[in-house]
Amino acid sequence: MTISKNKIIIVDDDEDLLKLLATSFKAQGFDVKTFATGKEGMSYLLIEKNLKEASLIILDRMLPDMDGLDILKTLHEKTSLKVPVLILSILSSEKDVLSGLKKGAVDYVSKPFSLPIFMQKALSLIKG
Amino acid sequence: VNIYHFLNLFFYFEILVLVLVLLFILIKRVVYFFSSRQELYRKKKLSEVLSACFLKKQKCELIQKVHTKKLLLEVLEVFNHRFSGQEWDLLKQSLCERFLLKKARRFAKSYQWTKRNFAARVFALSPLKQDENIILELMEDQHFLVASIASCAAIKLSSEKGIIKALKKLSQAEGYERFFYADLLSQGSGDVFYVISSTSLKNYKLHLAVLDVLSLETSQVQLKFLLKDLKSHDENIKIAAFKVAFRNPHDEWEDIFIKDMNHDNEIIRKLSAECLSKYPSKASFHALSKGLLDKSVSVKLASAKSLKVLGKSDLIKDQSLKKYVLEFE
Repeated sequence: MTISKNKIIIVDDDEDLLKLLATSFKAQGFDVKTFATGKEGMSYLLIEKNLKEASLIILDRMLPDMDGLDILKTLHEKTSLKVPVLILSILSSEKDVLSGLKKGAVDYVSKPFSLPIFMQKALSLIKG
Repeated sequence: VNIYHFLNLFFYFEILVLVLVLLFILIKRVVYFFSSRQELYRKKKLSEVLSACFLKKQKCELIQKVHTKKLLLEVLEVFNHRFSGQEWDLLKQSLCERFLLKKARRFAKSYQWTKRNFAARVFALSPLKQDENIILELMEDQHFLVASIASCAAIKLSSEKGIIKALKKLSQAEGYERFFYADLLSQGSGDVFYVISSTSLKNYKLHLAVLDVLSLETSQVQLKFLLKDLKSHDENIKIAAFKVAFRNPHDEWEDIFIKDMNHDNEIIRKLSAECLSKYPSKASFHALSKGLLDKSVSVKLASAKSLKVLGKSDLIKDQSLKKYVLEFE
């Protein structure tokens, strides 16, 4: 049985932004799963089936319960993560961006961001 | 009997007043509870409409039905922290022009500082050249929460007068206010840096303020005047100029740093050592090796760090210093 990789997982505590991103990705034909806390997102992603279905993971850094980079670290430790991970955060110093990339994120987008550019980046990452 | 009667009446009156006050507080709290819930609901609704409008799924006219000016401003500010780019800027500008700017121009002259704050926030969101004079006036406001936000508007507008005003404020400010203006100016566009670096430096405090701002970011313009400051006999100017030079290295300045590795002032020697980390030359390695023997620990450490950055940690003979630099720095 082949698994369709058409799911985008977004973990961000900004409800409006989650809805907006979900709408944008759904309009492109993707299935979107959103989480407002790190704990919820992590427990979903640690299930192998869910991770295999994902084509892109978008993580915020300043979540109410943890740093998005901790989710990324745990995923690298506990799974064989092959899905591209994109960090979307208000933390934008050189040090922050470098720590995100060092932990295995393929790109780091700082807020405020341009939605069309972000969408294009995300789509390019999904296409690989 | 009459006095007793009078006291009794007074006692009842007092209880009545107490009950009325309690009732008033209760009603106020209930009203506040419901109004804040309603405001939250309206804010949510407005965010949804604005999101739909941003994604071009809905016409922006609908915003008029669900907003008050204050609420719209708050929601636009939240969105402005999320998004940038041409599409968002166009939408933001059109909404500000249609719903907020007229009121902001009126509020800018209000005697209530909260209204002037509203005006400054609108201008900071979408500053227009035609509002430059109002923005400059608001920058002179006695309330920091008005003047500082108006300064953001002036910097976004790259207004030359506004930038100079912000520099003057920086030169006079202390503590948080100083940090705020330095940070604001350093995050300005190339135009802002151009104005800062070409500002007349006759005023001593303004001169230091300019160097302070330039030391926070790598400059996008050539800093021709810096050579004079690097050679200055005034130690405050020299220190500030060295901090700028660290972020903006130039080939011609290496000799100055090498020479100042022997300066009497310990801070200048330390900064010289830091600046030399950008120059991988024999003369630089030699000066830094000498710096390792300096009587000041901070100069020794700065020299060791620079040698490490230059890939010459083998020149550090002191093993404990070498270990510290390699492992912790």
